[in-house]
Amino acid sequence: MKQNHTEFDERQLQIRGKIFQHGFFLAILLIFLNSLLQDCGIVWAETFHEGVLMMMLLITVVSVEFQLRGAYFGKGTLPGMAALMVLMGLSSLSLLFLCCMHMAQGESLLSKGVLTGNGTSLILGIFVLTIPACAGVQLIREKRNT
Amino acid sequence: MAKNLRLKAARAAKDMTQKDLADAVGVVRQTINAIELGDYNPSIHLCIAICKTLDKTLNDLFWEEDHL
Repeated sequence: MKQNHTEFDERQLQIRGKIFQHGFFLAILLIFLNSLLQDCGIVWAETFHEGVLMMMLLITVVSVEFQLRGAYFGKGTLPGMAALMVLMGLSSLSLLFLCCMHMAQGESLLSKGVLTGNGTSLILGIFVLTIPACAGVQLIREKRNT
Repeated sequence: MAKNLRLKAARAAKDMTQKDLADAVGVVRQTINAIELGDYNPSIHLCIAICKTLDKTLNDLFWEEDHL
C-alpha cells in the first residue's frame, strides 16, 4: 500500500485539497473582479500593488481556513512552524509600524482614489499579521484541549 | 455520522490522551478528535493502526450493528 510520507495525515490532506479548491475559485473570482473594475475604468492601485494584494489576500484566506480546520500544522512541525509564525508576526508588526511612521510624517494612504505604496504596505501588514494571530489563537485553544 | 464512544472508552481504558493515541498512530490530535466526534471517517489503514494500538479488533471499535 502507498504510504503517506508527508507531514500531514490523511484527514489533513483531504481538508487541504478542499481548501486549495476554494483558493483556486477565490483566485478566479478576484481576477475576474479586478478585470471588471479595470474595464469600468476604476483604478484602485498600481498594477503591481493590485497583484501583490490579491495574492496576499488569497494566501491569508487559505492559511486561516487551514488553521480553523486543523490542517495548517502537520505532524511534528510545530516547533519550526511556531518559529515561522513568530517571524511573520514580527515582520508584519514592523511593516505596520513603518506605515504608521510614514502616516505621521504626512504620507497618505490614498492619492486621487488610488492606493499609495504606504496604503498597500498597511493592508499587506494586516494580511500578514492575520496569519500568526490566528495561529496563536489556535495554538492556545489546542493547549487547552490537550 | 454518530459519535464513536467505543473508541473514546477504549482509549480511556488504556489511560491514553487523544494526543498519545495520535502520536502512536502517526496523525495529529485533531484527527483522533474528529473520529471520536464522528466528523471524520478514517481509512482502513488508520482504523487498523488504532485497533493495534488499543489492542482491540475492528469490530470492537468501528463496526456499527445498526447499519446491518
